[in-house]
Amino acid sequence: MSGEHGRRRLLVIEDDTQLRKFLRISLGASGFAVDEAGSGGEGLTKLGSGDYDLIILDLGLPDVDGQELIGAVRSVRHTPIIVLSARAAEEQKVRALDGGAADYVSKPFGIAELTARIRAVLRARRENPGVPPQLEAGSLRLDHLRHEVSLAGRPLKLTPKEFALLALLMSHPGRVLTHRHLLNEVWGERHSEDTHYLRVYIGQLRQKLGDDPAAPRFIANEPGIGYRFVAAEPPP
Amino acid sequence: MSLTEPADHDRLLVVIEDQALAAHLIRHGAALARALECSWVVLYSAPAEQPLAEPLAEAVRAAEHQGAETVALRGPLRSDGIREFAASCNGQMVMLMRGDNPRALARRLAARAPELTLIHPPMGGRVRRLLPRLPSAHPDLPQRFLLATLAVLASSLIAWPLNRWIPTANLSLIFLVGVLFAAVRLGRSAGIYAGAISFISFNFLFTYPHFTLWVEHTEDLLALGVFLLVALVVANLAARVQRQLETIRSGERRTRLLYDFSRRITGAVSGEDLAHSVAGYLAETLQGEAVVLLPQPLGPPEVVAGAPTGKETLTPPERQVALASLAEHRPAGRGTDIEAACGWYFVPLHSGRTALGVLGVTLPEGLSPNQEERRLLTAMRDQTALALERMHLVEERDRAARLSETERLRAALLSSVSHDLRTPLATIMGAASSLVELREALSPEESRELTEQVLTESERLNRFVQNLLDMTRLGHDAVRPRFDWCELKDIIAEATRQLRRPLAERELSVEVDRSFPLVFTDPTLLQQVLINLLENAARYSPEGSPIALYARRVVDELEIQVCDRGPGIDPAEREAVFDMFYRLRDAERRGDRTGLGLAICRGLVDALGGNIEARSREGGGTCIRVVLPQRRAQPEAAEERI
Repeated sequence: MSGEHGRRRLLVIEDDTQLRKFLRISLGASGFAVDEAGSGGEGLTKLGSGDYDLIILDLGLPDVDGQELIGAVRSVRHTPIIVLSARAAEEQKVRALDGGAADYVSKPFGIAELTARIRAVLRARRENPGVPPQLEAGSLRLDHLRHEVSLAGRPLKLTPKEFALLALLMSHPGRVLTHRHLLNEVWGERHSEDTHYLRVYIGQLRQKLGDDPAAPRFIANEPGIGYRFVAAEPPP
Repeated sequence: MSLTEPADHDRLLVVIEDQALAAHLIRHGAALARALECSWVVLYSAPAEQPLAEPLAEAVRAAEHQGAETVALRGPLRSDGIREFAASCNGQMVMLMRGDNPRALARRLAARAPELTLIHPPMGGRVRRLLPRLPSAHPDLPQRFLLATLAVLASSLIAWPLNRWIPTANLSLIFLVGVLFAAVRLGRSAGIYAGAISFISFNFLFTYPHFTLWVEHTEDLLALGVFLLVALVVANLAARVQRQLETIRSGERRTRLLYDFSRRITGAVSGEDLAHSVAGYLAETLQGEAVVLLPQPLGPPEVVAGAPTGKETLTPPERQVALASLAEHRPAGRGTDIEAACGWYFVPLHSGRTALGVLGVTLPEGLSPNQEERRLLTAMRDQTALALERMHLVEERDRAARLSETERLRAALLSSVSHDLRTPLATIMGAASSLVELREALSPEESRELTEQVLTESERLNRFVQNLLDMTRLGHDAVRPRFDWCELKDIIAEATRQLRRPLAERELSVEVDRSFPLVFTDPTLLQQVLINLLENAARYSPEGSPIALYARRVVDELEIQVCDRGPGIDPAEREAVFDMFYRLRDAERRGDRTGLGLAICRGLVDALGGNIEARSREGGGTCIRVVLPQRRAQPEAAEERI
């Protein structure tokens, strides 16, 4: 497994010793090279001296406000950030995501969930950042050039907004996209608060895709935060 | 002015001449009308373009309430007007107060309208002075005239020897001084009397021919005439000035009492406090008894204050009258149309539709309050209602503030607690999931470390839950220490054993003074204190830095110190770190964990009767010092008997 990632370098910024230790062991065993920082200040120092592929950041650091730290990292580097945060702190997560974090994981979490998020974020980085003409997810195909979507070979009729929404979600497989982000991209900044648009269009999309919200194959809801295109795990 | 009543019925005409007696008249009129089963009309004088005085308006309302027709006459009531009115509405009986004065309306009516039956109710409502009489400047009537005579006699005695040097006409000035004295000190009538006898004395003693009332010279006659005139004017003026002075004095006294009252009620901190002030003031001002009823949290209003003895209370029927006044929104009891026979006079306190309480007074001799006293009671009622309302608002505001503060702290506590619970849980879940999912990728060493972590963090979780329980128990004062003699070293050993994993990479030095083998304490609580102190030291100091525990006996006390090499505590915060709410607010601010450990330590140490404090450590770091009182005597080992 390790070879597949070519020992990607991760920086874990977490104040709790035990959690940090577990992350070091488990992420190490998952094939990542893990570096640790016990505080926000130490994290920023390490970022200045080393080159990392991804940062895992606890939002509840005692010395630095997590949101500020994201801003500080974003202003100098494009290193993607995955934030660790309590489940109840939706607002905090949305702020972190809107502030530039790539994704989040709620505490407590299983190691599989965390590594899946890490891979999704790293994959998105590795792939061509430009929009590929064709997107595929299982039996779902989306063709940008011909403006066509087909499910199991059968063409689907989508409105332009539905198409744009699906294309946006599919181009970030496995990653959460906040309501605000989706609204900004599809409807424009004037509608960045109109989450009811999303509910309506996501509902229509799910219906056309035959997707069950309770067990989503394509579009998963992240309550209070946004939507995530379910990434089919690449075959090992 | 034609009324639509059948003419074959007698009607009762109640004439209100003096508004102070209005209520009294209405009461008797109503009773008589009921007894005779006749209709009744109330006639009163209403000044043009002026609202009715309150006692009159109230009496008129009461009359209407009891089925009377009421008619207001513009201008003063005259016997002719009443006679005419009685004829127009077939009124046969006229009820009105009998006045002493020969010019009183009742006498004139009796003389001018013999066809009318005049009824005079008993003078139950004698007009009394509102305030206890000031020590009166006027002695009794005979005494007054005696004193006035003496004043004139004195004037004569002074004037007599001066007669030789001073022209006769000027001697009258000496008599004027006497008249002035009589008018000022003894009242108008005494003044006039003094003027008259001065005139006679002057005439008798000083005008020619002497010792007769005969006046020979015209100029003497003129002087006498002028003297009489001046004496009368002076007597009148002086008496009027004196009366005004008295009015001002009594007004001033009332103002002072009212001011005292206002000051007392603004200083009142509770409804009961206020009630005592009000009752005290009313009893003092009205020279009677006073009670204040306030609503009780459960049930109807009860007497909460009485004056002057503080033991005044109401019988159940009297209380019913008080409640009736509250329900009816108007005065009840003595002299009103609700239970007039009751000894008490009650005034309800309202704010809008909210019932705030009832004021009750009894007056000396069982009288009902007169107009001035009612006005005073109305003023009291308004002030008291305002003060009560203010108090209620303040209470309401405080309660809301307390509630929101409690809410905020609860939210802070919940978020901190969830953070503290979740952090070890995150490690446990993560490590366990790694053990399951990364089985093949983990080296045996890594597997062992992760398993170890699950245990360590489970223990931490357990300690935290214990702290939560302690916190709850401390919050309810449910911590009851069970003191016993125990070995301090055992307690320390158990605490460090429980912390062996978090302290695994720490150098922990324990120094226990040998001078006391046993300590008298609750071992479980002390152990919990030590666990918290050690864990706290580990948490707030760099990894790998040493931690020290010292215990020794100082006189009658056990002193334990747990010291670290951490960053230390800011002197300004050394006390605050033990405050649960401070920690919560702080945690809320930083989004950090609660760190309730020290607050719990303080609670436990308090329960053990000791003290806890934070000190800075020489060479850097913090020492938390716990001092527990100890018994001087060590227990003796049970003597073995064979």
